[in-house]
Amino acid sequence: MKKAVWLLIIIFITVWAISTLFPMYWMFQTAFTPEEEISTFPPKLLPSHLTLQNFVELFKSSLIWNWIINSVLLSVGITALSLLVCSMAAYAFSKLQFPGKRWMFTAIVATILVPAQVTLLPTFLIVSKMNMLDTLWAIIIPSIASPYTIFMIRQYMLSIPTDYIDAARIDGASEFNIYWKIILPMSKPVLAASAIFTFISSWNGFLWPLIVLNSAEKYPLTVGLATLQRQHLVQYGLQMAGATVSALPMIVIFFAFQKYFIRGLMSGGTKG
Amino acid sequence: MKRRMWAGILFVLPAMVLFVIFKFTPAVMAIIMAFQEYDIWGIKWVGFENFKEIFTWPDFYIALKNTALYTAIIVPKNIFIALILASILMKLRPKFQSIYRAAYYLPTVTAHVVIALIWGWLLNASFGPVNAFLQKLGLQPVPWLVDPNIAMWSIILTDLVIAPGSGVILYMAAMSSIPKSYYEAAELDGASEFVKWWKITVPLVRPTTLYLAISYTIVAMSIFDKIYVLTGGGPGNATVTMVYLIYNTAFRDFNYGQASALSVVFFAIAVVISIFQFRRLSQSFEFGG
Repeated sequence: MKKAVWLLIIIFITVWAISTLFPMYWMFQTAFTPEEEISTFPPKLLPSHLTLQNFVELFKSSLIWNWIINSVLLSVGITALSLLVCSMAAYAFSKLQFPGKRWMFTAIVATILVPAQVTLLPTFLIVSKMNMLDTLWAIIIPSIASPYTIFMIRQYMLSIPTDYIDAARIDGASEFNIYWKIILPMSKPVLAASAIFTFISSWNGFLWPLIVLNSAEKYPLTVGLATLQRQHLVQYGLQMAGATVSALPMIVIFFAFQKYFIRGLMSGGTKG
Repeated sequence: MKRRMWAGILFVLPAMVLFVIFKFTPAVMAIIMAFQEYDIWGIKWVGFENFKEIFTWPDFYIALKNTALYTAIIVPKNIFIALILASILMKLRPKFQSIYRAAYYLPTVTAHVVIALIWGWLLNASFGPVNAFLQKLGLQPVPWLVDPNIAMWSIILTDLVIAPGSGVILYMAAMSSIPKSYYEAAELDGASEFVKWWKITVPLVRPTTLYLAISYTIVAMSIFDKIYVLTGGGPGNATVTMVYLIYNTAFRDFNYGQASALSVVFFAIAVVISIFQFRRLSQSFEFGG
């Protein structure tokens, strides 16, 4: 192809990359800019010097430690329990025979088609009946059973040869040991991908925690940051420092596990 | 054999119990509650009363219009841009591919709340960087989020300028599985780059297009976090969307019956659109494989 055409194409994809990343850049830029310099006109692309002042202020004046701990507890709790429960179900759906298997699987996959927003209110009423409101359990327990995770893990397990299982059975292994010692280790790639997706979506969840939590010290980061914004309307240094605290761990996870990400996305997309 | 059957039941049991409590029961409840007046005073059957109220409620039409506008602009943009960007990236060397792919995907791992906080700052009317930039160019500052006639467009704009990261990755995966021989055959016939793209690539990635159309539509229709942070549905009710209205009706006004009726309408619209997209895009699937 001609050089000029290629140049235009490179400019096109680069402009999209810049406009996609610019808001993230601006978050970091503001977070590390001294508060008095943030609203100067015209705004500077780079601050005159970097400062941690906004972070110091944030950790002093808000409940951010609580929010970080809550976000970690939630995300770790949901990820661990969800992976356990969903991989068990996925194993049964892919390798075991039992009555009702077909319709149970169909019913589970069908829930993918019902957006969570539709069942928001009834789920809230159920959680409230179970006396879980304003506790982290209200977020963890309803998030454990995920149709996406079951579907994704099952697809992978279907490709594991049944010979391994039969051989273990002949050796007298219990059904639980077959699952725990043979199937799970062989499913590591899909478990890793599911874990990353579950962790990130729990970390980033907002609407459900907003509804079931009342006390500020129980909020996860997302909800905490939204209240922070309402209290400090134009203290953007503070807000962007908070945004950075929430975004940075996910960015690190993304770069550390990029290959699992892409594999996970593809298994969800091309087979779903 | 019996042991294996029991094992199967025990293995699915925890998941099934959770699905029954937190997915199946709420779905049934949502439909039942839509026909009830359900508030702090108690529960009574009202037939289609909730639906009648919704359809004569001005806020419902504002929410419907805003949600439709946002979805109708963002979904085609996401699909089209993802297709173009993926097609270009496929021609690059693997190293550049992964750099650009990572750049496009990065905001996808960040909370909507965080992205919305950043845009609230970028679009601040009096001293936000975007208006400062416009003034430097000698243009008038724009009251992005404070003018009710502009606010919804501003929210659309914040998503319009972001590349659709997951779409790019899925299209690239689909494109890399198209056999090279198809393109070689077309080259023998003297087909141009564009003809090859339009006649081979685009039809063969149609299953991905279908998947993206349906999933992007559901996500776009459910827009909430951004509205909550950026405008709170305002100014006035200029930027309320369907889910924002459901949230307000249920958790601010405690009008559970009407909120359930809204949820049912919302779900019905989502289903109808999905079916329509499936019909339109699944044709010639047998060719796509």
